[in-house]
Amino acid sequence: MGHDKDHHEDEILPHGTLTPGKFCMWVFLGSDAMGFAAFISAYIVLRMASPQWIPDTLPEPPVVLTGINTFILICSSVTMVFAYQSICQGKVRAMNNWLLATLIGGIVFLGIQYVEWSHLLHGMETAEGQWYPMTPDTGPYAATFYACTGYHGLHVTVGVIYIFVMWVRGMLGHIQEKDSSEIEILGLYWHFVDLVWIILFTIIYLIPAF
Amino acid sequence: MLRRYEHHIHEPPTNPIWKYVFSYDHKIIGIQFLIYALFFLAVGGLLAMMIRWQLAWPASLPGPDGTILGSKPFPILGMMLWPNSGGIMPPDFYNIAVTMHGSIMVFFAISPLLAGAFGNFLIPLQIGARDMAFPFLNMLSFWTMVPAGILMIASFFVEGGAAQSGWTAYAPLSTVAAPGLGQSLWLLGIILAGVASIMGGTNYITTIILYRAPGMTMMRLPLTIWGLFFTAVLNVLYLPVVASGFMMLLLDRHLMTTFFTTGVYAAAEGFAPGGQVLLYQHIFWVFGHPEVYIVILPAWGMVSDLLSFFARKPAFGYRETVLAMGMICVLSTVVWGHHMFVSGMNPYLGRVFSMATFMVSIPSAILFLNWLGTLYKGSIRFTTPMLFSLSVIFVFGLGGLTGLFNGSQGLDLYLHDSYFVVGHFHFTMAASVFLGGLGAVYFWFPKMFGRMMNEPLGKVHWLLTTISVTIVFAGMMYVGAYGHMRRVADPAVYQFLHPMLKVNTMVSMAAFCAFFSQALFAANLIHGFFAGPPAGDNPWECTTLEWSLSSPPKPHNFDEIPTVHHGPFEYNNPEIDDKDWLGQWEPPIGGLPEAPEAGASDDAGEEGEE
Amino acid sequence: MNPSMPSMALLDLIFLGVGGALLAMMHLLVDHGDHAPEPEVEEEEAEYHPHTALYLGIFGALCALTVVELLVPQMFASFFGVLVISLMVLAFAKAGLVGMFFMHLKDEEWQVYLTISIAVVGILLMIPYIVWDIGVIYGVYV
Repeated sequence: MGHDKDHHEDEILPHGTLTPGKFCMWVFLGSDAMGFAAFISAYIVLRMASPQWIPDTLPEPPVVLTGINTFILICSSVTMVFAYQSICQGKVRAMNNWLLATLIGGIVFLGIQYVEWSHLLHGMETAEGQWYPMTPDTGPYAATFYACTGYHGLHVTVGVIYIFVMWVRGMLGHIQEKDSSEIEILGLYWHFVDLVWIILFTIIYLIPAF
Repeated sequence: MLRRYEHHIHEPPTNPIWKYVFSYDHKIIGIQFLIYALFFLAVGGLLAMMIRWQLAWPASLPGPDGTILGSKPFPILGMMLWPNSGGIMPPDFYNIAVTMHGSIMVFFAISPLLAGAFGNFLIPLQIGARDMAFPFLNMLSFWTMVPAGILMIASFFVEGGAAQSGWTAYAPLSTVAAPGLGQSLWLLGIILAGVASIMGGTNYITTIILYRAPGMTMMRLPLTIWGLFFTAVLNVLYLPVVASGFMMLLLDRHLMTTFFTTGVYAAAEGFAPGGQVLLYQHIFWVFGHPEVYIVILPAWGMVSDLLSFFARKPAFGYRETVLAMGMICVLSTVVWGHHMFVSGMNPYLGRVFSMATFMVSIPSAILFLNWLGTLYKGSIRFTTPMLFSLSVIFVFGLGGLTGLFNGSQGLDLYLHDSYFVVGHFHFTMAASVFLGGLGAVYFWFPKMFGRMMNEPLGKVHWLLTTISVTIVFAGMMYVGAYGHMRRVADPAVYQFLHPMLKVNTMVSMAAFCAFFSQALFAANLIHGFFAGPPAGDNPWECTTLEWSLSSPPKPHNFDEIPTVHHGPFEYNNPEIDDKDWLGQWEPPIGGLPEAPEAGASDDAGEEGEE
Repeated sequence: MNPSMPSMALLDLIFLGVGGALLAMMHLLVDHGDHAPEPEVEEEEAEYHPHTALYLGIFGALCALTVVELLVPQMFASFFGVLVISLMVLAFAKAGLVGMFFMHLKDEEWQVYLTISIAVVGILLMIPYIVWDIGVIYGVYV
């Protein structure tokens, strides 16, 4: 204690120090978790109170495709943590490559999510061979599904834009080893998005699918 | 260990756009929020006058000999808005007035006044920082409130008018029964206001934790900052819940989802029955109850400080007050069901909520008693800010005690949606917060603008406002206990309410008096801003850090961040020789400690009081 | 199902207890910063040690847990309660791994940990209360 640090100063803080930006991001993530909690609690309550959650004419949530999607998001989380590790060691080019990998992972996730949604909205073959579009108005199952995955998708989109901006800045050389906390803050957001998806995937996709 | 941070001294911008409009300076942003809040206070107050006008002379007002006297046309605005009815308010508009009065006051007037204006202005100054942790985010937070306010005002002018379903916007009323754009704009406006508050809240929390001056431990903070800190925590935690709830409402309205409403397919075989109305009420009130504490916590903190400053006595039970505020924050998260006792909620669950509601009254009582303890044997200076703080004790005592009646499930069966509840929450939320906010304006006006407001005029304003506001809300409680329902445009339709109609008229008269008394305040503000006598650095002789700076302070606040050795309550300490106070920036009474850094526990997490 | 107050209060306490226990366990991993202060750093900074093996190990654990998650529904198809609980435990274990190691929560100051815990407690309080009101209106359906 006794160090009066200005976070714009040239003095380099040890990696992982709690900067104002990092603390603010943690506070924001706590706040964001509450927003997701509202949607998840709506899902839990509506599902518990329904005699039949998934109507006969609507498909179950596609577990296999989304399982692959979950795996891709977890991979992008790993590439993100390696991006942070690279910049902590001063390896700017490696960081840029890992950031690009994370960006691609995020975009692929959004792409698969889009494909899944469009299949559901246009109608999918169900076990009985019926073809019924799962629009948001077909009941609480559809409503909570689109709300939860849509709210998460919004967060992924914001994250993708955030990663893109940081990647561009990294390519332009604006991010050096002393700026590692900026990548750490980006990492916190992206890991949070992954974490929420892990929980959403379990609750929305896995539990009904049996 | 947490390290502390401080900003460099920067040259302030010269371009007036960056200096006054899109300012990064927390003091300017605070003043922007002040102007914003005063504007919406006026709008909300005008809507309140329209409500009271209608209640004073309802459409079925009986005259002598069984005739119907009916409504009177609303002055000036009536003929402009409703020429077809001769200026008389249609019942639809009464619903709009009730809804918009509530939402505008809660989200756009009192929160921006206390947390927005004073939070922004005071936090860096009172903790010894040069600005907020993120000045850019701070600027964004104000400029996000502006479109939110525009959306609310715009909702009046769309087809169908503004939202009509109450500030609570319960589900079928706000989805099925409210086609049209007004309700949707309302929802968007409040979501945006919530986003702005979350931006501000994260900023406040980061600043208070990481940017305090050396020696400013958490337990040496003024109570104002503690109040603002807890407000920010509750804001950050619970605004996203209501934002999600409002997003679900928007989906129900526009995409025909079935969160809260039964879908068109419900009757068909094989489909789930649909949504739950109570789900909306739960999600809303999970936010809604902490919201009322969000509204009052800054006022509690400020009143606790002002009472101490003007009684020239340390705040009684500082540590207990901080703990009480913290306990209220925690407990307020599990009492929301007391708004839903008659909604059809499980009554056993209601019993749980009722018990928790009684528990949450205890810390409020501790707070109240600490105020009295601060006053006891103090040398009281009856300045305008002090008078307002004393009024807050009075109105909050009334409001808080009546909350106990509402918290009992059995009594609430009768009292719910009556004017008793309206009187209760207006005493606690409106009267206390409004009077506290006015006191805060009088107190910090010299620091903000460098000039003093007129004291005698302030005292007249205080007297008129306190008396009229007390009559208004006490009258409401009286008619409410009698059985008068709320949100009813024409209570005279009910025979059993006829004895209460005269009381309604009296309450309305007092409300008009309260409204027009604010002209004195407006005149005082304007005169003070342009021609008030120059205030020195410390006209009130107070100890918090902002009074060590010039009025108004320089853009970067502190040339050199002071080291703090004690709390802000060194009043009438017998060891002080020349004056009856010792500023927080001044060295301690026994002189500076010998080794300033070694062993000095100025760590963030530790407590330490001199 | 018409839950009585004592049983609801008991369930509430159990839920909070479980949540508190989880938080306490995570709490043990959190570094409280009791070490001696970092030496003054002016030009050279404390050396950064890469944790590649650790991150890859956590990735492996996440993959393994995901596979288990996909297999569990087949194994416990007829025991819905066990199914839900085991899936939630697995989900929170994965979330905990991401949080503690990728987000470096275990190395953070206790103030950060407190911030997250407050949000978690808020969520743990909100969901059961709503469930006990309207989740059980028609009885608990599968």
